[in-house]
Amino acid sequence: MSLLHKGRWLTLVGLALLAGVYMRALAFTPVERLQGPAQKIYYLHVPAAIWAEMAMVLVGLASVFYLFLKDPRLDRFAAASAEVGTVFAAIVLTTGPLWGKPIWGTWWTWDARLTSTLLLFFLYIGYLLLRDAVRDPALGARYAAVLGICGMFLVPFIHLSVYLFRTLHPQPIVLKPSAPSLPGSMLETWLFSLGVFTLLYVGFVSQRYALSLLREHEDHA
Amino acid sequence: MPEVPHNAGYMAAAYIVTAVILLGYAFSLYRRSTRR
Repeated sequence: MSLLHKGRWLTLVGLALLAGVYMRALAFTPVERLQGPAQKIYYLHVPAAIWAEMAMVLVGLASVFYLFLKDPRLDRFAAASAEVGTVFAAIVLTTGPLWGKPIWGTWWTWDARLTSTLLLFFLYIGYLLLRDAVRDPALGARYAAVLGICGMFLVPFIHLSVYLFRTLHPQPIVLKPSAPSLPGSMLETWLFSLGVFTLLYVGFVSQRYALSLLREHEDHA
Repeated sequence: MPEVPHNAGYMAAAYIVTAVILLGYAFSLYRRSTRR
């Protein structure tokens, strides 16, 4: 089975399991008493945010190795991860305001966490545009690698921004040094969702990587 | 005890938007692979 077909199957399984996440989150996970049903946005928003950030870390790591080794597989992977990261960042930036409005009373505020996440999204867009803007693919890959490495260094700042600055955005309740402060059933739903987003990331990146490979073969033919 | 807020509309919107983005991207990848 080719990488494209493997990626397609992984994506299909991921999307089917996403329906399971929806069912579990909406019908079988308790409503949080203070925030109400809007708190359930957490089960999509946070896994999407984790993979939007992880995708950029992987873009950065692949870019570092690409600059040293010049292996086109690393560049291909970085480009695929950046495109998928953009999709997850778009989910974060749309579900975030939909959660913020009923809880904070505003769709958006220019605090450190929200602004740095928006910057991550713009970095992804810039990365993808830069790849297409440079005619020489090798040169475009090198420029994009430098931008990818810059993006990687933004990720720890995004994560720590809620500790370093006074923000409206709450501090992590699962990914923190102490034990998660989320009740058992809610934590299980969140972990299930994180697993499904992980599967979707792998499925999407596999397909996107295979598409790049096909395009390169066509260009050389 | 305070009443649970009525904000299910925001939750529904977020779940719909997420599904549209993910399904849209999956379809875009499928289209790009079958156009060749």
